[in-house]
Amino acid sequence: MKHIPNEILDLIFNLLDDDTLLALARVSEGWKSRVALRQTLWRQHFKLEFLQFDDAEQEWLHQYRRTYEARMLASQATNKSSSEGGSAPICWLDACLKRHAFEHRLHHGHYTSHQLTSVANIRPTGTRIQSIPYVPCSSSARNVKVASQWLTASQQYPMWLLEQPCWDGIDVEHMGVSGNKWQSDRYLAITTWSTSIGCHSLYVWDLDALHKPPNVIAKGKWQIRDVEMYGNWLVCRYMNAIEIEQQFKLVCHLKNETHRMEIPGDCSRDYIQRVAADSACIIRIGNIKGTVRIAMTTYTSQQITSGQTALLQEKAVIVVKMHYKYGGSILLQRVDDNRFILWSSSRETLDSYSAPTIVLVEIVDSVEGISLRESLSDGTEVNHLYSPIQMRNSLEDAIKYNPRNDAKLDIPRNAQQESSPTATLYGYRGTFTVVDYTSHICHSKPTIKQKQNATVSSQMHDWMHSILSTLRGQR
Amino acid sequence: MVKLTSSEGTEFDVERSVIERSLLIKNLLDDVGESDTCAYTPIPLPNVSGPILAKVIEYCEHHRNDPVVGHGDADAELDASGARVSDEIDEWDMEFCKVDQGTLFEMILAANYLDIRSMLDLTCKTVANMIKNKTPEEIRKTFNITNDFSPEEEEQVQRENAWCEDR
Repeated sequence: MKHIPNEILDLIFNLLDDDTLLALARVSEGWKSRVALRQTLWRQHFKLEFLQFDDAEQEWLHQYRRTYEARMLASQATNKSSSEGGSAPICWLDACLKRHAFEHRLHHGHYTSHQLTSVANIRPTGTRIQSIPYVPCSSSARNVKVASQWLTASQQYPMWLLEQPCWDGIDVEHMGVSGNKWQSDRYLAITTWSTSIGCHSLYVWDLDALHKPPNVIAKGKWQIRDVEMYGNWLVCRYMNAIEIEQQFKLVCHLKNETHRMEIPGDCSRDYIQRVAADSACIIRIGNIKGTVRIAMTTYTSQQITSGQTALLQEKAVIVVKMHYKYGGSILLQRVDDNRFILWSSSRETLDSYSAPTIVLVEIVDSVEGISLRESLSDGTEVNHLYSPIQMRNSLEDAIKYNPRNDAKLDIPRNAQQESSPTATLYGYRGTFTVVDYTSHICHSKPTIKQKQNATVSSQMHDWMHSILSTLRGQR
Repeated sequence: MVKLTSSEGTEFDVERSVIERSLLIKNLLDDVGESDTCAYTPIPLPNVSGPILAKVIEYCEHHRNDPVVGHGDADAELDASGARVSDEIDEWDMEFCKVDQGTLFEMILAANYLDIRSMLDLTCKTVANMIKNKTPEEIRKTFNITNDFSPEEEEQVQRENAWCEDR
């Protein structure tokens, strides 16, 4: 086989399915490199297998990138000869292998568990891989916690820490959290209610710097709704609880703290479609003039630039007839910078003979400007795009072996559960357990009482303590 | 008739219409034209041994009436993911490829050199079928490949790929 030239080897590889190629990648270093060279194939494989407009899939890829880049940085730090600056492109074969491995762990109950009993008294340095906020309903703001997974330069594996968002300068004693929270890759937003002065507030923390006080995005007697965050941008609306017609829209750049406000005059909802360093493109869904069966919906694309005070500029409008049921709503799922899907939330109860219940809209940039184009509706392709939204299992649904049934984890029945795409946090009265599917150290067997699991959990616990001790020593 | 000379100097007489399945030879003959010279001047094939050339001629004779597959037709066999589809191999072709591994690889090289697309596809498919549904260890044994992963890499590979074993 070694005499076969690479071009012929490629011909043979072309005849193999992806699973066989993945097996070839495990045969030898040389074959792995040869198989890995097919980056286009693996990227395509990844996108076909793991639909990238699924939010959970995007977050998995974000986590993978962060881990990959952190390891690259650590490698550059130890290898002085490596060039500095610029992140190396990820290896899509490696991403495929790791994503498949994650799926396997999810379905076979292979996880690591981490007991987080106290808030870390040191701030980790390194790369934050992911965060899972715990915001109990109708509780004191002090009970808000964030379980974060960090990868430090000195560690081979990421570690979990319990962090508490900083409330410096805020009257926490007379403040409660409603349980509403919104999270993006970078930020955590929480609404609070002050009992002393009777006002609602929207606070936003940078998840990489929870030790710093939050940005106060909105404060007043108005209820805050429909918070959307993407990149460094946030949009939300707030309304007068009594005069519901009185509504304000807020568009905010979270890093530069430049705010924009307007009175929309209707109940339209904004979604962030594209972001740049100093601008964001907002898609507005509004003007639903529906009867029980048919709704007319208008979509408006707008460009916002930091620091400007003029009203948002409307760039393009499209009117699409959609099947819409009274009581339901038209929602948006971003596919990528240039596409979004509009879908009726009550779709399953509707027929789609008279009007579509799902529409794919493309944003077309041309010399004449931006235009919106309805490209598909209710065909096979758009249903294929839509299925992950409709059918997407939450982590809870996807896992076959429920960690709550793991006697060794001893998760209280009333524990509040919060999930990221790759881990679940169980919190109850100050005790937190993270069940993590990103690593592969222990295996749970639901039919056996997981003796092995307990041993490994104990080892993990010891390992965590040793890491913390090491970190404390470094300081 | 056309005369071919293998790497050891063995001469083979073959009908022009048969050997024209090789695009290399076909183009060569087309360039020379219809003169009788080509019938008496052997075409040297220094990259192909006698036994392999005999196999090539056997293949071309059996498939002499098949439509010629050129490079431009290759894309027809691509599936949605861009990978080529491994079709069923017919009985004669399967028997034809029942040779030892060294001979099979030489046949691949000869088909590639002589530019016989259908024979290259057949031999590559045969190798691909030898790989399919095998574990990495079985693939190593089949093709006598050395596992050159370091112990750390091997451990990492095994750990990361436990999922494959249960599929």
